[in-house]
Amino acid sequence: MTESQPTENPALSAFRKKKRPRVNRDTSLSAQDTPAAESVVEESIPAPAATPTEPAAPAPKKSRTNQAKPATEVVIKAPTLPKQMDELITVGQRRNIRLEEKLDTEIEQFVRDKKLSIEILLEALYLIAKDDKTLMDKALTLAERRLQERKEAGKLRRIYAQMQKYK
Amino acid sequence: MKVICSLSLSGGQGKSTVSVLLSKYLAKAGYAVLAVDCDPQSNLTIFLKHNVEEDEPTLLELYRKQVNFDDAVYATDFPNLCIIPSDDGLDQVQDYLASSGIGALSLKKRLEPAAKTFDFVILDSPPQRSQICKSIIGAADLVLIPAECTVKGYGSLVRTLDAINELKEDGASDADIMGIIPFRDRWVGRTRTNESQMVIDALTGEVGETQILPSIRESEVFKKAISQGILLEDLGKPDLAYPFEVIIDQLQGA
Repeated sequence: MTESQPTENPALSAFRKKKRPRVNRDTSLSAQDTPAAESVVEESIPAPAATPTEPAAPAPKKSRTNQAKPATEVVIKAPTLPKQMDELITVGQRRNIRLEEKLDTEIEQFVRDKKLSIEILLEALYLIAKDDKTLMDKALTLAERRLQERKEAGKLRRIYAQMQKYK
Repeated sequence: MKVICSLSLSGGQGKSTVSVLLSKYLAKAGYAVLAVDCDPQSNLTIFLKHNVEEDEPTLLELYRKQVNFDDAVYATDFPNLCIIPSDDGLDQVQDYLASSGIGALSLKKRLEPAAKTFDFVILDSPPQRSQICKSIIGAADLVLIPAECTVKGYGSLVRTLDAINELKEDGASDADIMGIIPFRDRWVGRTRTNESQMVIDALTGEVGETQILPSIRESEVFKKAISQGILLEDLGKPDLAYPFEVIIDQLQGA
């Protein structure tokens, strides 16, 4: 292979200028579903095989490989979309929750069997208990007891760790 | 004129790398080369720095006989190298090819006028078994199959060989397999990694030693050369062009 820059084959220079027929091509994903979105030749300069037809109804989407000239695009907006978006459920920030080991396994298995997630189950349990005062009181009593137990366990572990250090 | 396709039925196997660099090295050697971007992802079009205007003919319109061959061919900035570009719109040709009855032969027919001007036509294929792929295999005289040095690359080779054999058995292709190009061949110092060696052994077992071409090494230099539109020697790495030198020697001997 030579290092020098090759010289242009004169036969290929013909492809450099060239006035070409203009086409109307839809590059959108949905164009594949509709025969009406076929690309068509709009203005045929001697192209014997070409079959001019009417341009497709939807405005063609600009080619993504065209980075030279930004052209104006017709964007069809769905007016109801922003409203629908507002109504969609949004989720808050990610939380790192830690459960009692035995319950963790049990709940994990339970939600897997029901094809749910722990977060969704927690939301549902809260929403039900919120409207049922007896159930909520029961849940809160248990929650307070469990909180005390966790605090006790934490305190004991801390004391034990300090004792180990001074041994 | 020889029509060569870079074919592999998985993504990331090196098809566009082979198409871009082989086109450029053939053009540099003085041949008139036409690169045809048969992939709607348009990597070849982008790497050869061609901007597809939305109202300009591409491979899609040529497939559909809406424009003449000459109207779909564009000169690139690289001497002796022209391109038939594509864009996302090319996806629409699948239905046309499926219903045309001669899908496997349509590209071959459309490229017949290229023989007047070009010495080599390089087809860059999409990574799926599709109607476009059928038409590429139908149009090709020679097939180069790049295969990544991974288990996926081996699987891709097997699928690609099956597709070629199927079309040959149906009489829709006369393509000969020119060779397999191991792609992203990893070396550490002077030693090839175990994974690369294992896969190359498996590729060799599939096609025989004579059909394994020199590998394309795992190197950022290839990416840089392609994205910057330059040759490997321009980045001070002429040795990495060895696989293309061997391919061109074989083509000249053919």
